[in-house]
Amino acid sequence: MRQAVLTAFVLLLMVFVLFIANGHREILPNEISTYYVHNFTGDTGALNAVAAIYLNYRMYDTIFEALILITSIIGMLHFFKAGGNK
Amino acid sequence: MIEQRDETSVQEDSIVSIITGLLYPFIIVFGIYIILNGHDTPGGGFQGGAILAVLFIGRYLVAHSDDFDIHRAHNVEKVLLAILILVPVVFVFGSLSRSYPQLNQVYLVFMNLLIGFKVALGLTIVVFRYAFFEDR
Repeated sequence: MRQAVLTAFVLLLMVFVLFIANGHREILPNEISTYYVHNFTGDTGALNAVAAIYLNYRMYDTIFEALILITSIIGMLHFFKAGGNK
Repeated sequence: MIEQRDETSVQEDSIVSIITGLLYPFIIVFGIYIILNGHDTPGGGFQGGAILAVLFIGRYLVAHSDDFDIHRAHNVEKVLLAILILVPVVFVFGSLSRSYPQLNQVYLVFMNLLIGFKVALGLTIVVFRYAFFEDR
């Protein structure tokens, strides 16, 4: 019973979030991407635009990506049943 | 009926072990090359780190050694993550990259190295955690 309620709640939440996400039409001007493509070497010293973006313009993205990896490892080390401490 | 398998009964395949031994230096050089040239050519810390992780995983596949200390590697990874957060906070968010543009290349290479070693350790920990505990 509890599981059914939880499942229904999660499904409702998913539908709600999808509904909001689909109703939201945000169109960004492409000034930013044009700026990145034309100025990344002078701004960051990189010759690879991808490296310029993920190490300078969008540094938060990289930080939280690294954080996601370590969070998944912490969860795996602590919450799996088998083994435990080695 | 689950077959009881102890470590001594595992036959080592000589072809796999010899070829993996031959490949080690190439894996190291290729991974470090991708990390160090990540700011100039396609590649970078994440990709190079994944290649470097193959080093430890391949060693486990060949030798079935369980002398890898997961928790020590996890601590090293935490320290790397702390540096990984501190350096851009000081350099990029503190807009030192505008004041000292000559440091930009050093920053990019250093960050790619940090990310590379961190990703390599992370993937190694994930695989070894499964290999040590989940295969019984």
